[in-house]
Amino acid sequence: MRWFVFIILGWCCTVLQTMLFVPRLLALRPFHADLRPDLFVLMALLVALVARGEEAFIAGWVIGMVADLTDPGSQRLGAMALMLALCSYAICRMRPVLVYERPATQIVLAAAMVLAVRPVQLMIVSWHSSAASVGFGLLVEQTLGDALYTAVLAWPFLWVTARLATHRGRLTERS
Amino acid sequence: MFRRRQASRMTRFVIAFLVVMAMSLLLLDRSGAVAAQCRRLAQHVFTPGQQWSREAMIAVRNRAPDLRPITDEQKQLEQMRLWLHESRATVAQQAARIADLERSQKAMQQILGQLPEYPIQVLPARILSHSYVGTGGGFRVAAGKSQGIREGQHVLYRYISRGRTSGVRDGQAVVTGMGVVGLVAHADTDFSEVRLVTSPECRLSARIVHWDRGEGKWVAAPEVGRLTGAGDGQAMIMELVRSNVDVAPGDYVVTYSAGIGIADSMILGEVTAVEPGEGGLTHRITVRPRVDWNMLDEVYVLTPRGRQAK
Repeated sequence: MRWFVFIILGWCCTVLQTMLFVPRLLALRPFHADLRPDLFVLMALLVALVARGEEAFIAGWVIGMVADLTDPGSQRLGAMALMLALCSYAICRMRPVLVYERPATQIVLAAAMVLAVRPVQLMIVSWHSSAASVGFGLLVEQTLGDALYTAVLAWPFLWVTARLATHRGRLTERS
Repeated sequence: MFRRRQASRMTRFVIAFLVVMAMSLLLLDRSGAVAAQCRRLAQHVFTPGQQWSREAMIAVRNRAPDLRPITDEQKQLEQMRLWLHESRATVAQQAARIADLERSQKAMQQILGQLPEYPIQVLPARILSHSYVGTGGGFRVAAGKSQGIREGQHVLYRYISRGRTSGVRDGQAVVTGMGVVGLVAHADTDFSEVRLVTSPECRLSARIVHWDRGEGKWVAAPEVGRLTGAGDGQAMIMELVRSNVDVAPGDYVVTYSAGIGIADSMILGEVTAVEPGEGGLTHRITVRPRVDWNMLDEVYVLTPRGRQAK
């Protein structure tokens, strides 16, 4: 893992996430919710697939903290940091039983991470928000849409970033 | 072995610290003050990149065609926007035109404000007919061979549509934009007879105006000469100009008001030839009128201010 490249990639992903995937640009609105992919989840997935368990936990925590810092909806920090750190560590531990070089696996993992992270994130936002709580239907709609959008982008994202952030350009590189 | 174990211990400590820190932030920071402070610090890291990407997106969006489906409401808004854009351009043009007209109006008001002090007013008139001609002897007859008109004879008098009832009097100057046409020879009740400057009976005091290269402007010579029609209907002869006066073809001949009672410095014609006069003491200057006699239609009579024209 090239950590310097990883930091640059993380910075670029943060900028893209906060600028590109906003309503009226690349965010989709098929129903009532603005659907957008989660590049932070994809970055955490990349780390989980190429780094050791402790490194994946720390990197996931940092990525999640950045996600908390740049998300104007969340009034408190720490939720995404914990969730992404745990998810990264869990996927890192599951690597021996996963054929994660396959695009299908990457797509499923990305969708699963979003499905694990996004409901918690939305519930915390709803809990701390002074406005009316998020409806269950909207929460499901938002979570499924984001998971689908993120899963679609997972394989091209990992294909590019793995070539930039790893020494041999493949996800199979791990200690 | 010891180093690996120490690193592993350090890593676990860091992981534990991160977990505690995240839980503390999540549970203890109820007011969100720490989060706000951290966000302010994070802005220094991400804001420059966000600004660059925003500018890049705007540039791309301005150049790229819009592929999104357009609704009827958006079409109407787009048409309205185009209409407003065109209207704004039209309004700007009209505003500029109005400003020009206002400037012209102010200039006209200044001129009109000065006119009452000017002793001469301009009375427009029309040439009545081309059929009144004159013979070499100065008789005015209607056109036609039966009246004695022959080829080679020249027009020396014209009639205009203004007479005494309009304030026209004998001796007043008749002009066009090109110069002096002639003088009113006889003002009747409703029309007047104009003696053209090419008539031998028309005698005017005139001066030479030449281009002074040193001063870079037209300068009138102080000497006053006498301008008389040559009788050929084409030219005038200027005499009594002393031979030491510098005259050359291309100079202009203008009126001298003290002699004929009309406005000063009105163009009579252009010098075409300069010859020594009788005795060599004066010039004999041939002057070609600037007025095109064949195109005469509307002329202006210079009448003293105060005589009301009908």
